[in-house]
Amino acid sequence: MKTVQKRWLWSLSLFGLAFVGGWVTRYYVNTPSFGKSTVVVQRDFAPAVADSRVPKSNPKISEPEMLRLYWRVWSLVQDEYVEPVDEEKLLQGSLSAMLASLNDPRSQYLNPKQYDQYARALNGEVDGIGAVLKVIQRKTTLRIKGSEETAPLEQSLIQVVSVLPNSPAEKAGLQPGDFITYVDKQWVISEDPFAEVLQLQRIHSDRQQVREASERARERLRNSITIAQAIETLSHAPQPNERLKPLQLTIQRGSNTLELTVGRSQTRVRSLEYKMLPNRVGYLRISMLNPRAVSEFNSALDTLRKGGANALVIDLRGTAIGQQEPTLQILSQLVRQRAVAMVETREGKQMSKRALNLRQEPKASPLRLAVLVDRGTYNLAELMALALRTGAKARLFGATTAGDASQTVLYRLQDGSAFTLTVGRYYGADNTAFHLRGVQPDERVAEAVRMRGQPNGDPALDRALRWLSTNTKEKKA
Amino acid sequence: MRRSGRSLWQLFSLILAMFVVFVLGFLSADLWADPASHPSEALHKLRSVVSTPEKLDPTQAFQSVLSEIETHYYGTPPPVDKLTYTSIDGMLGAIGDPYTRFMDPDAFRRMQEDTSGSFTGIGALLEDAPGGARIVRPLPNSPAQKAGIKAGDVIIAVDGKSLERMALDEAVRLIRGPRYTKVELTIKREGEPAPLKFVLQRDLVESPTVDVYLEDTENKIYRIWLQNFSEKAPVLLDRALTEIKQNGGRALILDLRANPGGLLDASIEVVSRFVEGDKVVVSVVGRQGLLEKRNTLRGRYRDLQIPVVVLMNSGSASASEIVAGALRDHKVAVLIGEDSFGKGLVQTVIPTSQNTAVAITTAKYLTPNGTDLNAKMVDGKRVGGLKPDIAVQQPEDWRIGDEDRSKDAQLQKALEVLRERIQARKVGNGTLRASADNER
Repeated sequence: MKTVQKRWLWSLSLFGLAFVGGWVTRYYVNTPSFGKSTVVVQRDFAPAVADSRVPKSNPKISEPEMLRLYWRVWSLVQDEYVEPVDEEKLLQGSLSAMLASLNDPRSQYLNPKQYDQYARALNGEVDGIGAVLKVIQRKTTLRIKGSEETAPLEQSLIQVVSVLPNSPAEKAGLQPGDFITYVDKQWVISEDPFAEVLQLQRIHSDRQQVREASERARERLRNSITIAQAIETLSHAPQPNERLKPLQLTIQRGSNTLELTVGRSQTRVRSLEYKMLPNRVGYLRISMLNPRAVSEFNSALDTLRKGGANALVIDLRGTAIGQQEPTLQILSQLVRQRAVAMVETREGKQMSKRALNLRQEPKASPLRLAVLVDRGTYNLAELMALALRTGAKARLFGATTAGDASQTVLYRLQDGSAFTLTVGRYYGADNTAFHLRGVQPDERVAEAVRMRGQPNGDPALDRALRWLSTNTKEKKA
Repeated sequence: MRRSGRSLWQLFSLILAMFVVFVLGFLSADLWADPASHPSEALHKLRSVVSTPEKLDPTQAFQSVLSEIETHYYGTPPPVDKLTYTSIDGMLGAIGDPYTRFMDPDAFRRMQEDTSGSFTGIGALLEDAPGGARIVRPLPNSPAQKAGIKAGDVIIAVDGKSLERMALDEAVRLIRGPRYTKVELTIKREGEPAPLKFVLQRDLVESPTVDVYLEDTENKIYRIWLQNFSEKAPVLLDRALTEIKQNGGRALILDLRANPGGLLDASIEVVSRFVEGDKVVVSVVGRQGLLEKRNTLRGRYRDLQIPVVVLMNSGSASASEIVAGALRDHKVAVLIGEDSFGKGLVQTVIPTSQNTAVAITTAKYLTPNGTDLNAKMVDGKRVGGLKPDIAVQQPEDWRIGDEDRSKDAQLQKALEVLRERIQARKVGNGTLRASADNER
């Protein structure tokens, strides 16, 4: 009896030790200073979190000295500044400055309110004028008044990426590619207004000229708003019981300057619309590449197939809002191979390119495909168009696409704010680069659309239908 | 044999069971670990985050963003230290006070040069000129003066590098350099057919702080141009006051125009020369109310017994405004000129590491009579600063340091006021002795 008890006690404590041993081992394996498990997990896109990640600090990266410095400044300001300071404002200022210094339009800090707008936009609720906007950097030449001299000038401008269906922007006639230069007659600060003054001083111009130039610059600044303020105004939706005056926008379109009056509201964008066109061609317009689009796409495809569709037109014109995971899931219904694109990422100082694979074996569709693209086809929609061409022998109709191949990730922070970061660059599965260049259509169709999605009112669609019908005949023959 | 076989089997199963328990322990540790590191649980975390936003730990948030950029950003990430400085700049920028700012190693070094009042260069005041930089004047005992460089010379090249298309501060950067190193200047001098070449040895140069001018020979009215409040300013002012006294000056113009300020202690010292012992110079009001009153220092008073006028303009800031305000409130001087800049805020420079520092606005200044010196933005315009007793606008084409005094309307007004005072003293009060008599 006694020996049995002893044995029990012994084995129990041994089991306990083994349990604790296992626990401790795992705990240390998990600690960031051991192994790279945390980083590796983040590298993959977890479908459930839909392209968003929680940032993890990597103690190997941030030198403790810099952390100490940051903390010291932070606490000094809290303790010593002449008036109480708003901690939230300090943190947001610091994080947004850090991301802005990357000079990458796709890497930016979103305060809780901006994040909320961002998340709702992904869901199809777009506030304000109803256009996807982007801040672009460009280099131009500064011509100095009364002199032959020129100097390089860097500009930051708000550009319309795409105009959402049924939005105030669409009604007002805003177009992808437009630059918004004034909002309600206020100059959207696009460059250092004193650049001319500096140049004049540099070439030792006379004082009168310098004085006039700085007066001009001051006058410009007096009636101006920053890009951030302009974007906030443009993406502001009326609150209940609030009436907003329409905005007076000055638009730079090519070499023309236009004045447009644009209202503001909340635009609800439907992720997907579809119908059967004559000759049993299914037409699918994907306006958003979000999770809702995936389920709607699956059931639409099902319905069209059952209806006897023998070809599909996928309309990606103006499709600018999307996420990677839903894009891949839609592709998995159409393409033949798992590798749909390539992604280039940075590993330390090296760049490495790997295939972007579908998670599951694709169910290749036997239907012939035509894809409609235009200047508002942006980012993941461009990737989709390219993947359909290489992976499903689709033919592209329309105009060159926007040309943004950034792979971005959304990180959420605990206080409700977030940030986006460009972590990679997409290429076609055949290594086609489309960043800045855009995806080139197989058939260029320049004529204007009168009735979108309507045969005889939509030139690009007509061309696609003609190609699909000849293609079908050839096959039959 | 059978028995040992059984115990072996027992041992084996015990080991197996222990292994299973080990694995259980191993897995259970995950429950303890940060769920965010696992995608399936990250969603759970995200959801919980949405419902109850938490306050962020600033250092942790900063570190997270920093390390994500350094490890995952597609482009070339800026170095960790640059990114940290940018981030701190953004933090302080959010306060909206232009004087609360971070000094990275470069800025910190420049600041140390500026407040210690010395730097290594050639020792000449320069101004912009067509084709190069014109010498306004070489400083006494400077390498420039020793080499025979004269006022009006135009430097057109430094070490063979043309200044033709270069801004003045770039040119200054070329001219400055480590002590005892050599710099070659190509100089265009009026009347010389060909450019001249000078080789100078850079040396420690005292940045000009105090200059004395005799503006009215007949009435012996002197002007002291105090250009900043460096450490050396009080001593140099003493020297100037002694010189004026010895020469029998009968009135004094303290010129604080374009003086951007400097050290608070230097301004207390300066006021102590003019106001007798233990009077308030400035009140310092911080977050918790009155922090301190700075009083004049004992044993510094120079019993001048001559009328004093202070010249100020929109470039007179900070320590200049403290001095002007105190001298007026204690009825020592009349203020002539324009509204001052209005920087009545106290910055404390606090080192944050070996080579960085932060300047934080820790308090604001009030003059002895309680005037808030700080200008405020009202409808996009700066309003405030110290008001002059006699407002005089300067003509458009006046420049500081101009040889031609007739354009200097503010100076002319000061001279007019002082001449009247001197006359009034002579006529109205016979018991007042001329300062020259007082000296002996």
